[in-house]
Amino acid sequence: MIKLEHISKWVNQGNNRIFLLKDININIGEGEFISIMGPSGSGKSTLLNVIGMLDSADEGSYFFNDQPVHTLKEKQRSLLYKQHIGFVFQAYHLIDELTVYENIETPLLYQDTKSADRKAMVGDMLDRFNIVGKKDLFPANLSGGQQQLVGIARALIAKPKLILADEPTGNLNSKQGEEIMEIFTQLNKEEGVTIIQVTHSEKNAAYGNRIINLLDGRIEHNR
Amino acid sequence: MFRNYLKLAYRNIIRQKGYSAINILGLAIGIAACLLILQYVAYELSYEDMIDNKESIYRVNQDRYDNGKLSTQWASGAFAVGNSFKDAFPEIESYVKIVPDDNAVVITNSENPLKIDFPYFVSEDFFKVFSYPLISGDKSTLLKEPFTAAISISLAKKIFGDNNPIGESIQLNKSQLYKVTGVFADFPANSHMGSDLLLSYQSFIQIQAKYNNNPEQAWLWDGCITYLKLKPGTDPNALEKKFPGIVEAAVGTDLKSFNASVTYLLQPIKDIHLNSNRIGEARPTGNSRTVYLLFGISLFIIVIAWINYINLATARSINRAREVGIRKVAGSLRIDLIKQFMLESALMNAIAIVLAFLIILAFLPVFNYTTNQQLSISQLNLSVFWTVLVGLFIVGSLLSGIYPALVLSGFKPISVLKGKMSTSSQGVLLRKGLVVFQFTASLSLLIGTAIVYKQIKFMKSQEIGLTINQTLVLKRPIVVSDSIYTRTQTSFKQEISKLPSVSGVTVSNAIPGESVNQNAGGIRLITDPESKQNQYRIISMDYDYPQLYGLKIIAGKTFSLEKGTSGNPVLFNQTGIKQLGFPNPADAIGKQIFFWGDTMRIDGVVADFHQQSLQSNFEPLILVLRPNTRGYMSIRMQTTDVKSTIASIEQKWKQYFPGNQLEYFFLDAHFDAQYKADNQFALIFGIFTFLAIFVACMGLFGLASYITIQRTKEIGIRKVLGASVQQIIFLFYKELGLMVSLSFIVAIPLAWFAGKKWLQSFAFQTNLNLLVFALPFILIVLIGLITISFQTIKASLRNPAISLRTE
Repeated sequence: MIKLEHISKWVNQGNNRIFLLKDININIGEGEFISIMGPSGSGKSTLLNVIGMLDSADEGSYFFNDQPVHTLKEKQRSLLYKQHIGFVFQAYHLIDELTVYENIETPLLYQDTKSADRKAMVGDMLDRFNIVGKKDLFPANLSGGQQQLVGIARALIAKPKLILADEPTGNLNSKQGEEIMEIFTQLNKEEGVTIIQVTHSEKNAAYGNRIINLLDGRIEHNR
Repeated sequence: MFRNYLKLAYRNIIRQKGYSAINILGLAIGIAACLLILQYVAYELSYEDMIDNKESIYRVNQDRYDNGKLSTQWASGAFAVGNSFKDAFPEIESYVKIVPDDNAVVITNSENPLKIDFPYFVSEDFFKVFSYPLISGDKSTLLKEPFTAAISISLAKKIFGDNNPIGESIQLNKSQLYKVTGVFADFPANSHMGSDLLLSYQSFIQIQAKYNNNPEQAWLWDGCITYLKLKPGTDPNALEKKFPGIVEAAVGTDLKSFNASVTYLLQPIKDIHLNSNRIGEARPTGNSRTVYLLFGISLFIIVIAWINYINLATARSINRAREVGIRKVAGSLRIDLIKQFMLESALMNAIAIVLAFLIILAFLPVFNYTTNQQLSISQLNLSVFWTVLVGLFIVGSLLSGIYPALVLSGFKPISVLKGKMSTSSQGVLLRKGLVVFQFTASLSLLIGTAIVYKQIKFMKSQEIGLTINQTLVLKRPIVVSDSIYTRTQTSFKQEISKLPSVSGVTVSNAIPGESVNQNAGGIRLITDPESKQNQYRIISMDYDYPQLYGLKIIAGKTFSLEKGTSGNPVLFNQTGIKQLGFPNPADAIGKQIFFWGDTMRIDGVVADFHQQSLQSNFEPLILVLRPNTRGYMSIRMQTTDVKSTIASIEQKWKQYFPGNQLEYFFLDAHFDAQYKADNQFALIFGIFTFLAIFVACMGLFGLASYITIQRTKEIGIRKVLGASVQQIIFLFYKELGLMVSLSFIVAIPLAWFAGKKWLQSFAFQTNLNLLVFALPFILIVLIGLITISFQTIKASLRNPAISLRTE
């Protein structure tokens, strides 16, 4: 599904070139559950952003479902990821001015889904995460865990093949964190959704079936 | 999708109350001001719009040259112009002559005598050329016959009530009868001419025939306004070039012997109201400068409001950056976001328009009262109104919305979601630039206001060279038999002089505060050749005038009844005697002049005085002694018991001039009335300047609050490093001071240039000193400082421990 070949990304500081990612080669198949680990500044988030097409590499090739992402224009890339990728953030990143319902609905608006279909799809999500009663609340009225549930619901609404999660439990207590991980596992096992998460926690990393360790922009150990 | 955006825009407006209020109120004030001013501008531009074929109708203006120099410019010209031009040039379809009668007439055969101020004699094609609506009467025969008249519907109602006026007669001044053959709708206010009483031009010809005058062939007799209707396809410029030939053939030799010449020029009637200010206009004309200045001000205000929107929207973009990031990650394209933000600005503008309506409804009466306009919602020119409204909405939404939309939609999701957002220096620079623009506009307007007020104060405070206070002026009686007029007037004057509270009485044909209507050409020293003659304005007066009005004699002597003044004595003013060729006035005393076939002697020269407001220059004047002259009676009186004095005067008036209404006014008020238009202009200018500054300040206030929030961390760090509260506040003040100073540098030449341009329409101008510029500058600095102080002081007092923790 995802194939990275010799991916490098850098910034220039004076005459020095500082590598954020250096010569990354990864193959990720459909249905995998990957955890990316590493100390702060090791390039975890950068790698996730490159995979999520929010950022592009300076060198190397990136194939997503055999499509050469590195040659695509921004608009085509945007089209590609809005069909296939859902994002979950550490800080949830819900829109404060929208209700729970509307937040979940947002990605569908950008895919021109019909109003009746949208209603049904959002309804399913609310059911699935047990937040039907909260659908008219604004994010400010929810606990962190509930907000992250909404965030995941929003990531899943467009039925993506791939979920990218950047420290999804970083702002949550351990019980809430476990719940989120359970949901990820279930998604991965039952629906075959590919999941790539960045995490600091060994415990959370263990939910995945493969761990990629990064250090100074390089893959240290590929287990 | 659209509904979602709309909902979001609505929630944003509700949530950010202060921000929305500043934007919406600013926009609403701007739109309301724009609508009001544009309504006024549209009205001023709408003159003659009601006339069909107005494009092919021209007035024939006359420029008069004496000794090779342009001396006078007339709206009227020689009486023979209309018929002579029509006979000579086939491209002229028809002509209209109008002879406005300066003297009022009284209709004496109605129940109550009715005074008509400006009756016109008009030639028979009047209603064929000018499509003013006729209510009754036959266009083809109307005003053809001598002693027929057309009257306005309101006059008809006054005289005849509900009866049909057609065929009835009206009697003027107890003498001539005119048969009413037509009734027309009252002249609209936005017409350059207008009268309630139109008399047939044939009547004028017959009246003049009694004095052996034939206006149809009179080339040296001025005072007839001529209009030409040209056939389709005629080039007016080409036609204009053929006029001199006719004039040359008719009066070339005569004019040459006076060393004079006249040029006739065609002016489209549509241009008259705003671009003509000639002698003998049928109605006072407008001022295009005022119209365009006000138009400019209204643009300033709306642009200031738009800038508020742009500045505030971009300043708070950080608050919305996260939303942009999320939406992009959720799959939004940039164009979707641009649409969303544009919709927000459109909604904001739409709400502002509704509010603008309410503002107009609430303040229209105040506006009308202070500016002496008669705008009303029902009278609004609807096409202009809607065009402006829709135009402002579209342009406003686009202009204020597009830049913030582009900035906001351009954010990169990973940077904003990671909180790595920083304000771009480019955006800050633009914001500062726009604020500098707002200050420049505010300062220019304020300096403009200062200039206008200074000029008015200057004009009012200047010594006019005449004593006009405590002077009551009576208008002359109209219905008096010619044979006894002189005797009656003399006796009446004597009676008034005897009143204990009256210290002096004089009769003259002109009074200060009005232009001198009598103009005389052909005046020269008796020893000079005919070619050296020139034009002068003439005031006829009795013995008492120079003394009562306190004229300053700078050479020779004044008229004196006691010492006796034999012969035909005249006084010149300084400008007049200079024009006659005497730089030193004393040299002219005792010299004789040729004056319309008479010889007159120069007895004295008076210092120049302001016959009119300081807008007009000194004119060459000759004061002629005519003890029997008819006109105004000026009465110098004590102001202790005005009521009883006037009552006594009225009692005598009724006795001497029965059937005439006593009309009087106080001269100082009459003189000041000349400044009415200027005062109004100053007031309108002041009001809209205030609005502009107010809107700009609201924006500044909003901007200051965002900037201080964004600089909370910086303030905290500075305080931790040991900066005092004063030093922090000074930091902000310094920035503001710099921006205002920069604006000042831009505003000075701008305001100076515009001010000079405006002052050009005044013969006597105030000087533009430092104060005119410095005071507005100081005022704007103060207003600006106060505006930002609310936020700045609050921010600088905050405990750094707290502000740094929140980061």
